[in-house]
Amino acid sequence: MSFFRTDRRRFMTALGLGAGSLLLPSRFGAGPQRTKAQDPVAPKRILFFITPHGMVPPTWHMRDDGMLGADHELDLTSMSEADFSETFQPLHRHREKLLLLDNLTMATSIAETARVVDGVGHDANEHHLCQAHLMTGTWAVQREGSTAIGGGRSLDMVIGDAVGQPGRFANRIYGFRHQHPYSFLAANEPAPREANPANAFADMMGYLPAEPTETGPTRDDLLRSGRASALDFAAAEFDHVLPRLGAEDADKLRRHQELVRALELSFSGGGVSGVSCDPAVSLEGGEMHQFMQLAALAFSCDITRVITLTAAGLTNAQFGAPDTLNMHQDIAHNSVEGAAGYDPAMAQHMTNYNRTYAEQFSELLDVLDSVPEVGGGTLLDNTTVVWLTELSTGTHWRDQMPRIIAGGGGGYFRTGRYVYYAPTNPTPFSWGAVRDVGPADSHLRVSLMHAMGMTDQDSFGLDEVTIRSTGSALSLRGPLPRLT
Amino acid sequence: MRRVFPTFVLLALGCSGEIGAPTGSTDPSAAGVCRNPDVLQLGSAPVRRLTANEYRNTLEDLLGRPLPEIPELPPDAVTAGSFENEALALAASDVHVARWEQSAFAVGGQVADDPETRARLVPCDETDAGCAEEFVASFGRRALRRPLTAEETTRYAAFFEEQRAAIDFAGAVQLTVTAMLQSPQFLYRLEIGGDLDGEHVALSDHEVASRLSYLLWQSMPDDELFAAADAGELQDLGNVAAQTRRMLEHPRARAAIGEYFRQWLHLDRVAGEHKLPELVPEWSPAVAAAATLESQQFAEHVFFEGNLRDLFTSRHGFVSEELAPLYGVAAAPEGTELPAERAGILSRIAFLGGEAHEANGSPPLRGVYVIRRLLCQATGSPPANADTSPPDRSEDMGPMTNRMAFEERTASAECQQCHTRIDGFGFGFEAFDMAGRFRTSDNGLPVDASGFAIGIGNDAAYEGADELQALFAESPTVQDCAVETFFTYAQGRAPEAGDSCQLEALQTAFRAADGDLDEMVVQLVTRPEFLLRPAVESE
Repeated sequence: MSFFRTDRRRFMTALGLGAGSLLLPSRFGAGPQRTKAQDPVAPKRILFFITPHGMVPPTWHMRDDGMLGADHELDLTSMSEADFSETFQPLHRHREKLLLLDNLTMATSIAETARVVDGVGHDANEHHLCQAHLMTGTWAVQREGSTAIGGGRSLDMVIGDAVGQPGRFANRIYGFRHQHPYSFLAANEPAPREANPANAFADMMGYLPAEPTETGPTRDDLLRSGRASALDFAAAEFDHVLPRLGAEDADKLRRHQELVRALELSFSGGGVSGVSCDPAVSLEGGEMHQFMQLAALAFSCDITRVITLTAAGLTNAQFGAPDTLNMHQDIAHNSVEGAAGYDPAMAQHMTNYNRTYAEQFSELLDVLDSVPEVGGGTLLDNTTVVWLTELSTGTHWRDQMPRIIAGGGGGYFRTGRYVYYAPTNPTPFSWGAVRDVGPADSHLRVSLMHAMGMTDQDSFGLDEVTIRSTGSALSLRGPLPRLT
Repeated sequence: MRRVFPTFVLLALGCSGEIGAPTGSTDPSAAGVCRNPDVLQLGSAPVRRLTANEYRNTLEDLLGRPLPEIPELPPDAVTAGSFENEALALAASDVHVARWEQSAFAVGGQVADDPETRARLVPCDETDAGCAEEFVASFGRRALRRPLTAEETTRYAAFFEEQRAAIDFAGAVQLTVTAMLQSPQFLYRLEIGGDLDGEHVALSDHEVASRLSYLLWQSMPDDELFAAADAGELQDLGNVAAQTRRMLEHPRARAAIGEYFRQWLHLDRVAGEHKLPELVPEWSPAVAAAATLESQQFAEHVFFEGNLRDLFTSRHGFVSEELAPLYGVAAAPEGTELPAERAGILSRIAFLGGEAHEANGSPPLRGVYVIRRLLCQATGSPPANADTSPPDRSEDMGPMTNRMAFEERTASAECQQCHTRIDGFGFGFEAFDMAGRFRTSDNGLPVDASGFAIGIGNDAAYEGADELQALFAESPTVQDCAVETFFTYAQGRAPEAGDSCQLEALQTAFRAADGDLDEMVVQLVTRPEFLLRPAVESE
């Protein structure tokens, strides 16, 4: 009995499903042998890791305070753990594969505040706006009677459209709810997010390589091939309905029909091109750890190339804060000098909070780095792992955003560096005196698309915003400099 | 002492819900004004995908047997002012498509392999001639909720025979069910209709049957409703009314109405609320779940046994073991009279504990809830630079009640533009703390739960939640909102200008019927519009 078979059984038992369950299809007999010739060039993958509430500037910054007016960078590879900022020390062991970016700005979110002030839309809540903008970079949908929400197809979806493989998932959204979603199929249409690792694994089951069978196709194998035929039949049924619908309804059903065709491919074609696919996963530990293992499994078996993982909220105990404190109202809001209720003790809690996430992020990198790839290197080397926060600080700053890239992106990024960007753009909007801020994070979205091979893309979301104080335009086109 | 805010009234009504907006709001969700009630007008009728709930209910009714293990579908979103069944939000995703496939195959397996299910649903034997057609026609009529056309029967039967040749009879049954349950005719409620007068399309009897069953049961029609459709009886509104009254008696109607209230009144918000254990040691996820259930049962009770007024005045309650200590009564799951302070749904823990923080009740959350959910009006967010954290009651300012702390926080003229009205409702619930426990003093000071209700059609000063809810019980704005909300649920979309006359007529009828809620449903399904959809240009 193979290790793989044992593990599947154990997992299915844990789910309350017996062996031979309907969620445990054999892939054999569905036409040609599914494993195609192994490709020596490993595919590029991208994983977005999102944590809420931002960080504490003095305890994550590693910038040179004497050079705030000029671009500069630090060589992380030669730094000791003690040289790392308090928040990022847990990342030290990955320093060769890190790219820490300091001083980007959520320009589109700030510009939307200006629009609301000018009477377009009504919701200027910075949590809502930043959640809407983080992955879309475009105007939120300002819903009457409700709060603002993502206003366009999000970056993970768009990259999935470009790099997704026939018969595979274009992307997966895993993890937990923060407040509003980050990933969107389209304006106002949140992408389904899976919060239960068991469900996420069940979704992958059919894509894992077949157990070898000695004899010819069994009845189960024939049924499996029949499922592809049933999908084919169902997809054709849409053609009988579409001509009788209005244009909007027809568009919706046509998108559905395309998804049915794509699923059919997963049954009848494709094949595992992953170079190190080992489906003998045993999901253990907390849910975040299970999602990390699932990410490694999905990437290594080429089940998807794009994953978004929204981190679980932390309990106070996880970062050593007393239970009586509210993470949002007591800790985050009072964690930055200058805030009305600033309290150094709260800043320390907030630092510990982010350090705990840094430990999780480091653990994620460990998991990816432990999977070797045939072309050499590890899964991490071929993956771009991006740690995003929707706000810069617990007090809702939207400049000086922390942005952490890890992994080589298949050789695209020049890692091992801390890169500081000088504030050279006027902020699109400011409640007080107008000041200069660092480059827009819209450029980073372009860079991430380029890293994934979408080099013909010049912008994502809005391609410019207006600087309210001067009326002039701030271009959001082009990739972020100094990354490659 | 009652407070009266005459000078604030105009100011408060200027709170359009749009901070920084130059002039009043243009709310597209608000229905327009009916210009000519004699002209039949229809709002749009977008195609409706089954919700996750409807999908599961439909499979259960289709099999008539317990379902096999099937994957959970992604939840359908609900926001204030909409329901899980909002047609435009119900699209397919790759996750849906994959899980529908797994479910369809699992259900097909049960039809083919479970002897009891097979005996119910496969009307012929493997050796019978024409069994493919017979099975396809009988199962298809229920799965697609209408008789199959001859062409459809031929298509499905050909698929069946193909699979029988490749595998065996049982395999063909399983895969034919698998295909049918993934077809758009199953997953969507398609209203193709028949007669066309250029402007309106008359729904077929079977389409009317599905409109009824998904509205009343969140599921497919039963045999009796199918029979009425087969007999062509559902173009007659008298027959529709009779079917409706019959269906409202069925337990499925209670479950569906409970779901409706859960979504309308956000009765499960409390489930996500944490309370500080040192302040509320008796709080637990089980208490929160029991609170949701209690309010849902109360609303169901009012719907079937009472009227809208009772929703705000009745003391009837279904008290579980978990809630008994919080309500200070003995457990009575079958129903009991609650203490005087618990009259109405807004004096129950689902609302009070849900619209609250972990350490204090929130007058703004409670007031905004009233405006959005009971008055069907929009509210905006606070300005971006507003401090929306719960106010501190710092010791150096002397002892303060929760109300005093909120009053101090929102004292500025800019805040008061909206908070006069919001807190004019929210302060009425100050006799209940963050967990919905009744109190007469707060922080050593007497509770002040007086206020002034503005913009409800019978504006008045009140003292306490019972007087405030007594005002809601008589408020024409609340009555109209109750109809508008149910209309939104029934249509699967917000009201449009084309709905104005219909909506006004329903609101008038509702008032004439003294707020009788199940009668409101009968009124809605016996409108001529219920049998029609607007013509759209097909592709």
